[in-house]
Amino acid sequence: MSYSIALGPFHPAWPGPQRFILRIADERVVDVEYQGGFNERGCAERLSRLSLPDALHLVARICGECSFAHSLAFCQAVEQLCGLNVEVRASLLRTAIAELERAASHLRAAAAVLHAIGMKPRGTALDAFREQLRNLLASIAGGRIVAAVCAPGGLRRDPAPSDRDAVLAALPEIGAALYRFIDRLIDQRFLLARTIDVGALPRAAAEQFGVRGPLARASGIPRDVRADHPYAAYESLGFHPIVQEGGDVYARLLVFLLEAYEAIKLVDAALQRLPEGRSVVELPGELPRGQASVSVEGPRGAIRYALESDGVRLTRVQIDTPRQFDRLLARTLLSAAQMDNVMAIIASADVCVACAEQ
Amino acid sequence: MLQVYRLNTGSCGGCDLEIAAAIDAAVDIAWAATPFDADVLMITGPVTAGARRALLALLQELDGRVPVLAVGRCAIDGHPFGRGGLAELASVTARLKLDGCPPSAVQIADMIRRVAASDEG
Repeated sequence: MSYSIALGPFHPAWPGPQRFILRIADERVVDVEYQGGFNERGCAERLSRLSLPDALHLVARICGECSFAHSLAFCQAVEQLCGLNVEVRASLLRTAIAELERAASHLRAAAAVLHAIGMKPRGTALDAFREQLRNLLASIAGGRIVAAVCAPGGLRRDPAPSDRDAVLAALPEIGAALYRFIDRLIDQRFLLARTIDVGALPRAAAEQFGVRGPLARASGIPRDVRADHPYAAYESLGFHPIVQEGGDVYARLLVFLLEAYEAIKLVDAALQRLPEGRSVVELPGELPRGQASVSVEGPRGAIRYALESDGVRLTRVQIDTPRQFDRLLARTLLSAAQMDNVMAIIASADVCVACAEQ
Repeated sequence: MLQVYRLNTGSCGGCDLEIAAAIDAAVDIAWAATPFDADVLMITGPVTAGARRALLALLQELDGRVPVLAVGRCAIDGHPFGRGGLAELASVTARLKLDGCPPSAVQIADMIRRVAASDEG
């Protein structure tokens, strides 16, 4: 028996709208049509018309989940343009905020996979971890989700010493609990049966499609901007990318969980070393003429900002984000997949519609 | 149990995360499987050109049976993405609007209950 099923564009489990039309025969997917582009907002064109404070406001709202990664990339590009240096304190704080955001984002993605294969209690436990991390993010960056704290040259807000101490006090316990959670989860027979060799993306295909971030690292590509071209404080903190070879849902789940755990350790290390001082800076009034291009590793892979300025203001902004689903990738991941696994495979790719379709 | 459905029409995902947090935390609110089962329909995002057709088609199917709650500043008037949101859609009226970028999970849960209560009365 063969039939078609349409998923989306709106679905409760997906953060953003996307549409899949699946052709099913004998409970397996034989063909996939993918339709995206629901969220195109034209942020890049809009950014070049805005003054710097307004641009910083908008850039933090291009994507809610990767908000700080976008701000950081934009601010580093402005710093390159103006030749600004960032103090050690500000760059350590930036690293801490970026890693907290990454951990929260990865844990949401991992929880979505667990919910999709029916491991509800485990998924709910991960959701609780994510909420704890978001609350820590609020105390250190001033916002649970959208943290518009980055500014060219430093930050716009300094966490109080008591906030830093509260985060440092909470982190070891969260880290240890997450470690126990991962340790008990990863060899469960049910999980292995539902995720191994499901939705495989072979390394060659991953290279060819140019996927980035966790999706690439789960397919054995050791590519990570934090290690390849260290920025902020990653060089001094010593960082090694996490790579898995499997390329399947299991490998992606492991990358999410292990990177989240590593991220918590990085936050701890960055805040331990935090020197006294202030990191709040004045915004530059005018931008010198020139061009700049900067990449940072967002939660879902490299985010690149290219700026051009005419001497007063920005004239051109280009944003290059991990664009994770398209027809080809959807077909590769979902072809011959069992109907029951479709939602888990889509969840494991962790598409960020807001980033991809700015 | 209140059932809610969320339509992301171009939002950054911040409101959507807070809505998920609100539903995780509230015992009396759950996701609806389809918009037709929902007691409250939440709209996030500035209603982009790409999402408008899908949104209007769905709202036409629903024919005003489900009250609409606009969540977040951009769903109300499009800021900071430019003009947009429900302010630009004459055919859609939100029962209530919740400002904030993003509003907190507690506010969202509160608003869902208020919209549902106003629908019964």
